[in-house]
Amino acid sequence: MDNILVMNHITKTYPGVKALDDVSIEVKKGEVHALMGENGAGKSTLMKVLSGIHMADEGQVIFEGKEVVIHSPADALKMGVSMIFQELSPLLDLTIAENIFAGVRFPRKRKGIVDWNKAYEKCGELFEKWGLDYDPKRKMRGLSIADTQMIEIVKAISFDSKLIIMDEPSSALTEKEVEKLFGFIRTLKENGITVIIITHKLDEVFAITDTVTVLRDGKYIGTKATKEITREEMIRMMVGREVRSEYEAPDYEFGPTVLKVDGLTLAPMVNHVDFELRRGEILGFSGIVGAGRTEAMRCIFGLDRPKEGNIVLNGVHLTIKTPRDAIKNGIMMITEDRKFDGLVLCRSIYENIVLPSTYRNSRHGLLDSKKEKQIVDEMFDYLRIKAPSDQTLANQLSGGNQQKVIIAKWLTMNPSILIMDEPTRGIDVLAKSEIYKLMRKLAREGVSIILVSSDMEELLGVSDRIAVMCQGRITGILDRTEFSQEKIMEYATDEQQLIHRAQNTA
Amino acid sequence: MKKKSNISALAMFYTNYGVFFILLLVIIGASFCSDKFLTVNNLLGVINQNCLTAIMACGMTMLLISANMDLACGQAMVMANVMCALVLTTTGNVLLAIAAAILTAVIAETANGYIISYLGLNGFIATLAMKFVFEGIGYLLVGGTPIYGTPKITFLAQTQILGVIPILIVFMLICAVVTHFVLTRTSFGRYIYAIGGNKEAAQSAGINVKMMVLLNFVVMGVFVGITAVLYTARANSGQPAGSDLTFDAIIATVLGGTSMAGGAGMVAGTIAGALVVGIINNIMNLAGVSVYYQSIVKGVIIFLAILLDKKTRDTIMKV
Repeated sequence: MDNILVMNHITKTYPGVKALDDVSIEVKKGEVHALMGENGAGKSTLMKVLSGIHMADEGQVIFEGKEVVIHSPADALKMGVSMIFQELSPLLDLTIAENIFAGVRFPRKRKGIVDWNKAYEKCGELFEKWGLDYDPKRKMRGLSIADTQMIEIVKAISFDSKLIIMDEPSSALTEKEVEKLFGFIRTLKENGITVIIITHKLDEVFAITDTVTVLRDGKYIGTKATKEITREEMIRMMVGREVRSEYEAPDYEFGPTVLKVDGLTLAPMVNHVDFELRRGEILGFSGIVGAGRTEAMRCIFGLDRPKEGNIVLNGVHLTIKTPRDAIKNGIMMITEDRKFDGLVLCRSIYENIVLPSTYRNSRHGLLDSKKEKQIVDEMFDYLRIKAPSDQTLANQLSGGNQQKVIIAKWLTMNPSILIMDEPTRGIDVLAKSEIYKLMRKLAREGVSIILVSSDMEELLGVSDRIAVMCQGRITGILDRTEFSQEKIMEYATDEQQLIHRAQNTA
Repeated sequence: MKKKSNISALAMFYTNYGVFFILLLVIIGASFCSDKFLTVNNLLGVINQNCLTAIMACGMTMLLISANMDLACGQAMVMANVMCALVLTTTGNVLLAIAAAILTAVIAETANGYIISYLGLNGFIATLAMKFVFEGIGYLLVGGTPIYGTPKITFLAQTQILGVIPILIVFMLICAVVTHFVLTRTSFGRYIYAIGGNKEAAQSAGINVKMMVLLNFVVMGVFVGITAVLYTARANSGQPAGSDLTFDAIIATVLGGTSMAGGAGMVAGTIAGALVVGIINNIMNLAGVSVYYQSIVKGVIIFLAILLDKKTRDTIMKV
């Protein structure tokens, strides 16, 4: 097979960081090529160079045998390269068809008037051709991330893209949705479209890809056929040393119940959620996306106000109106979207870490910079945050380091209950296992942790118990001895359970 | 291709220190335009002229940092100026007049803060509406006629320290130092940077965002009040048709590197920004440029300052 893409000696430097250091990569026509590596390895940067979002400092790109210079995403599109981003930004109030043709490609009548009938018709044909079932006239708002992603891919195909890049496409999908996505990727492959997937998940690499290229610290490490590589080998290539991603089981007794949530309700996403959390326990929350896990947690952390229900902490009934109330009581939350409400991106790591504890470290409103500096230094060491200095702006960090900054922020407040919503989304293997170790360490020290996660392996490995939610209700809580993927899926989708419970409560 | 990372570093440098270079350039340019410019008297005069703008801009800097806006501050100042003159002429008590002016301004700005923070209205529109309210109250207080002659208070503007340095400059420096201290050394300062940078994250970190924004406006009120007192002292009058310093304060602040988007800014830049505006006005006056042209120049400066702010900010945040 011919190479559709060759990138030679690509170098890209940011102030203080060499994001890409002489990276070369070859992608064959019609294959599914995985691009793997830790956070900050340069995978996304490399692909952003290819798709015209960043300009490389040095290097050469050869696409379909011709050397090309890509100045903008428009250049890349024209050439036949589209990128599906990790964070999608559809035009929510426009229709699916409008999203697909957004830009300048609407079918037109004379004098530049958009031919709507034709637009919807063309869009319908596209869906038909690719075996998808969407209504072109439906508004984007309310579609799941998985659907939005599908439509984004169809949009890419409609540009006649020959190469589609997907950045962590499965990071926000449920298992079923991932299967559907993979099915679609196979269809693309059959039609001769080349796909590059940026991913952290080893399972996915083995499930779908033909070839895998590993980057580490901005350098090219190697390319192998997926069939000829083992898991261990791949991990070794990614982290440069042996990593045991073993999960630690608790080697201590849990304390008494610290948190009791009773009948928590905020229609329509949260319906009579009851659970208890013991001291030192890690309670996992599973469920398909949209089952109401995040919403329930938001109620507990005061980001939303529940309509009904009690939150009892150490026997004391709490009224939580704002995150401030929750934090005062030792309940903290690492939210799902670190850029939205986790970090102040335009401020330094230092300020982000000491933000919630500012009032504790100040006297009469005056900051104690000595004390703060000491706290920040401790956190840097403790969590091994990688950055040029503590004055580096938060937006210049990789996802894993950003997440560490958020964890550091809460550790300065000595939480008694730490809610972690998708804490390892978009984070590399090494940082992940660091976070798992840290969770167990904190739990051993008496912190109770709630882990909301869509990563089944992570949930089964880290949790001491798993609560499964479906349509806003907890449909089952499993002990470690009962853990199995099948059981969780059963609870997560079981309608009977729901009906049964509804009858019981009625 | 290598240029891009350098551009980012340059953008960073510009937002922090760019205004000082602009100030230097303007001074050099001005000294070529008029040989009268680089005299001690003229320089002190220019600074003195722009002290009130600079003091108001100190408060404006804090507001913009927390991603807020106040288009009513100029009229709040005018209203407080009228109140100051009114209380002074009726009671003859200077302290009472100062207190009345500051209180008036604080109440006015607290109203702005409450509307924006607790009622959640858009700051631009809400303060634009309040501007008209304050303007009307200013006229009503004195039945439309200016109060001339408030000699008891003029010492606050017309004294010269050591016989050379106008006292207004001293007040301006004190305000700047206090603002700098509040921004860099207090938890309030930390909070308003965080709120301006990412309101949701600040909220999630347990900061009482509404209260802090309200407090931010209260502090603005104090600066507006001080400006009003000094205005009364300098003008020796209370004038309901007095000059609206709102835009001068905003230009100084934005030119000084404070982001309209919030989350970044320094008061030293603001003071330099105020001087740049002052010097440009001064040189146009010295060169006899008509006020109409001056108005156009001012507009263009605001435009360029905002454009530069946006471009540099985009470059820094886009990694």
